[in-house]
Amino acid sequence: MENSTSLTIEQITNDLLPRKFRKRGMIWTGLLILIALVGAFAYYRQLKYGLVVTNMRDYVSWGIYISNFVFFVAISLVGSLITAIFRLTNVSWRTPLTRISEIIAVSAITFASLIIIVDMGRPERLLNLFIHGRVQSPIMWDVIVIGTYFCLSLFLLYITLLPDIRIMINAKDKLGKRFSKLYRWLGTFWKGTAAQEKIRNRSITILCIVIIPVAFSIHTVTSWLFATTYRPGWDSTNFGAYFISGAFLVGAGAVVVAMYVFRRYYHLEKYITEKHFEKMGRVVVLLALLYLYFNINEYLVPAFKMKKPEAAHLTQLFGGEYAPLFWFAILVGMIIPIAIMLFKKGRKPLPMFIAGVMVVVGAWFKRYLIVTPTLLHPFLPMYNVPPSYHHYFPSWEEWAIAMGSLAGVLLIITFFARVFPIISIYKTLTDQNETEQSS
Amino acid sequence: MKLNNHHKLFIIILFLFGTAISNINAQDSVASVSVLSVHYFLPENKIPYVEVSTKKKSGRKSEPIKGIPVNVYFNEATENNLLGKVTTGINGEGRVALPASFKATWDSLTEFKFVAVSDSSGGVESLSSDVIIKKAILVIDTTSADGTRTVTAQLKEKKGNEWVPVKDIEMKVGVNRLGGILSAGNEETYTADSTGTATAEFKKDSLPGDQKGNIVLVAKVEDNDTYGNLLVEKTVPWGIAFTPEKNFFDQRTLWSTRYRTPYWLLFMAYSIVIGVWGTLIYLVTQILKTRKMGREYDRNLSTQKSG
Amino acid sequence: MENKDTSRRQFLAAAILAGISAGCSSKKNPFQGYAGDEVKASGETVKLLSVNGEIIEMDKAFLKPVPDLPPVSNSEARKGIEGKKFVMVIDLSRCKNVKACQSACNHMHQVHPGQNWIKVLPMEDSDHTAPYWEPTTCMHCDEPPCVKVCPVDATFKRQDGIVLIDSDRCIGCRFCMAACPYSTRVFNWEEPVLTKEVASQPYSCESSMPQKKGTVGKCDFCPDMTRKGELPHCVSACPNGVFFFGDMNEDSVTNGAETFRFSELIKEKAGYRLMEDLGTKPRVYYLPPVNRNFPFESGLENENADDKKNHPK
Repeated sequence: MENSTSLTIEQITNDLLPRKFRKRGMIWTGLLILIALVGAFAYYRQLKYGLVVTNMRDYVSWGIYISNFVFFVAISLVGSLITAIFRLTNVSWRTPLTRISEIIAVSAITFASLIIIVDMGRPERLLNLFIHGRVQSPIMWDVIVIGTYFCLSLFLLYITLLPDIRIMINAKDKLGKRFSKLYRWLGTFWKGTAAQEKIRNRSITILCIVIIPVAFSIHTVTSWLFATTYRPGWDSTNFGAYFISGAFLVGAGAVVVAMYVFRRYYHLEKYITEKHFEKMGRVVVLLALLYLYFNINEYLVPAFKMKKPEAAHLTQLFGGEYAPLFWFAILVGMIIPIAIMLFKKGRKPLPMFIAGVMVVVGAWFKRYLIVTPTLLHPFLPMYNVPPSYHHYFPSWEEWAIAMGSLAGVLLIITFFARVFPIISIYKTLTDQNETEQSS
Repeated sequence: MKLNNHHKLFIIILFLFGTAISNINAQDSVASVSVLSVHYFLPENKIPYVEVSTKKKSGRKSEPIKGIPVNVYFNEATENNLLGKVTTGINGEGRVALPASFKATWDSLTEFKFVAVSDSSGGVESLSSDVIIKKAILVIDTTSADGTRTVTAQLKEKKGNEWVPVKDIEMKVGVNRLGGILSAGNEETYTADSTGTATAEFKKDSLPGDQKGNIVLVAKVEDNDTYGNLLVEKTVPWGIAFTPEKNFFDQRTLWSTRYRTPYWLLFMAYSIVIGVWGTLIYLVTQILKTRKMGREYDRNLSTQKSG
Repeated sequence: MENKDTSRRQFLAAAILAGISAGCSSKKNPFQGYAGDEVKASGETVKLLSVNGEIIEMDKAFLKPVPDLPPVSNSEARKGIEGKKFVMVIDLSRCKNVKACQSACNHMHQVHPGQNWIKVLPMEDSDHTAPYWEPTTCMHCDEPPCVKVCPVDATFKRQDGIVLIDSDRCIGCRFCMAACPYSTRVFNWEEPVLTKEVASQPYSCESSMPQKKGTVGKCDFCPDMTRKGELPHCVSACPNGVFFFGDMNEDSVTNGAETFRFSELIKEKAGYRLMEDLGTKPRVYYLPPVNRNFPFESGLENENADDKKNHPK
């Protein structure tokens, strides 16, 4: 709604234009590049020797690459949540958050596709998916919807960026020559005329309507990679809704973390206000409660029956080898954040940031718990195999690549913030105009 | 003294340990033996042949050795008596049939000794083995009387100018199937009685045959010490007709190839893809329209300035 | 010359008939055993003696115990042998955990050391039921979950019932491994250990050799052997006659020494399939471990150290 003190156009523009990295920014970027390079080296080793450099073996044939993939697809749903759903329901305080969530979405879905290629035993045969693809396979469905969602998200990011590009072209003297060519190539045709605006607004609305079912489908189809198999822990009709609710939660948590970081390091307190944290806190706590509800459904119901293949799996999760990780994911990922955010004091920026980090970390481990423990409980006993096949802990190459992909996501977001305004200048100005007119 | 006893014990243990280790090593080396075996075969009473096989036996396992040149001789291993040469193939087996030049000897005798000698150029030491067989043929016949069908088989050996049935020969009588012979009745093998005839009642009713309902009856003498291996077949219309499935690849299922996707899935996938991408393409064209508008705006601006 | 034409005509006729006939070998070639009549005639003939003293001229190619079959193309390998429906019956009352099946299969397919396409599992259905040894191969299901999920048609179902893998198409996503409830598929995590001979031969789906890094492998029911009329290696290798293999269309299965009528065998001995309720329709039947030939404990002698430590509870 309104800012406490009305700001001039010039002030807003100045505050929100992208700025050069200072020392902290350089260190941050340097660190990310280093992690990404280590990951790249680990991938080179994997290409040379084969997937044997991981610790995946015949039983645990899917490891943290796949759980990372699921994690990234989950996070990328937030683009549609904040931009599309909030826009269609007229949530007025969404303005500072939309671009953050859109870039998180684009960046995460890009690395989801990359990590899945990393997991392939024969990445050079990627084109086989298009030349010989079978529509009966859930992987094909995943390829189609993820490709579609990537294009839709990128396009949404672009058309919401257009007015800001015009502002940046006009502010050439403040920004310097560095990216001016890029800005001009992207949006010099955008003049902000009424006719153009009309088309743009209509396009955004249509895009928002279309992107919601596609966003729902990417995580549903990803969940079907597991639910279409017979294994205990995966053979569940609940999986689509369970995954989607988890995706909204982790996406919202990621946005809260990003909100805090950008607010602090770019001094955006006037734009990402405490009110925003308070409102997002309510959203996140609601999503966390919803996800907790689905978790109860997912675990309590089979535990009541304790069917033979599921009994060993559930016992291992609740009280066995994976119990510490399982309860960690539940507590840190859901319960403690709920406890923090239920109270107004907990919905202040710093507690929200902590809760957001907990949600994201808990969610990463939760995805790992969905993928690996099931694979250690096949229907037929694990036998006539080397002893290493009975356990799974990722090798350093797997960790390096997983961390590298995470670093890659953060790098894309960092570079984006360097080149483009992380809060929509145009929308902020428009909002202010509207409130001034109405008052 | 205590020390001495301890020493003794230590030495004994060391000795036992040492022999145990050498025993383990001995286990590995005791095994590998190369074996050459010779067998005689006569399929369909036509061309008889001698099959040689070279194997390496280690304990219970045996592995074929290929590339061993083997010479097969009649009676003794001399140049004149050479019947043929063969090099064992991938299975360690090779066949030598009787050359036309052997005819005189073949017609005059009833008992033959075939000697196989392998030479050491294949990397294995020279081995020799032999087999002694009597010339014989195997005949099969069928009768059908009041609902029961019977299969009879006789092994006949050459006596003078005649082929005379031999008694007490064990043979398999049945139907030819993939990889084996399905016995015609309830017994696994049938033995020729005092008249030299093995009789088997055909009990396998409604057995699937070929498309016309034909099945192939088989009589087989296997590894007989005197007569070797003989086999004879006869096709009879005692089976039921079998029509092969013609349209296996036409079915549209979830496990078919990409060209046979079920219709409902094709419909769903295409409608979603066309719906979403159609919208996206439409929106892109709309933005391209704004691009044109922008260019026009610029042109208007420049004409205004100049004009 | 006339003889040559006759034998060539005979050969062609045999080749055509071989494609259509089911189960019976058309005896155009008196020399060959029961193998398929698709042997390439070499053109070289030789004069041989018949048992009656007649002189017959024969093409040299038919003298070979292992026929020179022309290599099967990829599209033929994807279609399979017409008119056959291969099936396997495993008699659990005879299994002693000798693992000759496992070593023969591993050896003939050059499976990576440590991995097995056939596993012999110690099973005990519940606390008071008898323990037994259960060899598992790929079930070659009629509604295979692995084929359903493959995104590139690298694993496929043939008309003769066999499910094969095309290692030239496989992208290594391992979805089929996650989907198989029998855990029968293995993955080539690193460069496979192959002899020079096998490594240099052209890849064929039917022989599943040479295996390739980054692709999936599994039991293939040895289609290269069955094309020649021979039995899969595990069937021939088992000293206790545990494995029976045959053609459902012929209603017969054999372990090399004994041949039974498939329908009778399953009915009399109450044959069943693994995980029937999952609806995969496997093509491997099991005969229950009744009237055991060996006590379960006799199989424990052959357990290697790793398996002893990880013996399922």
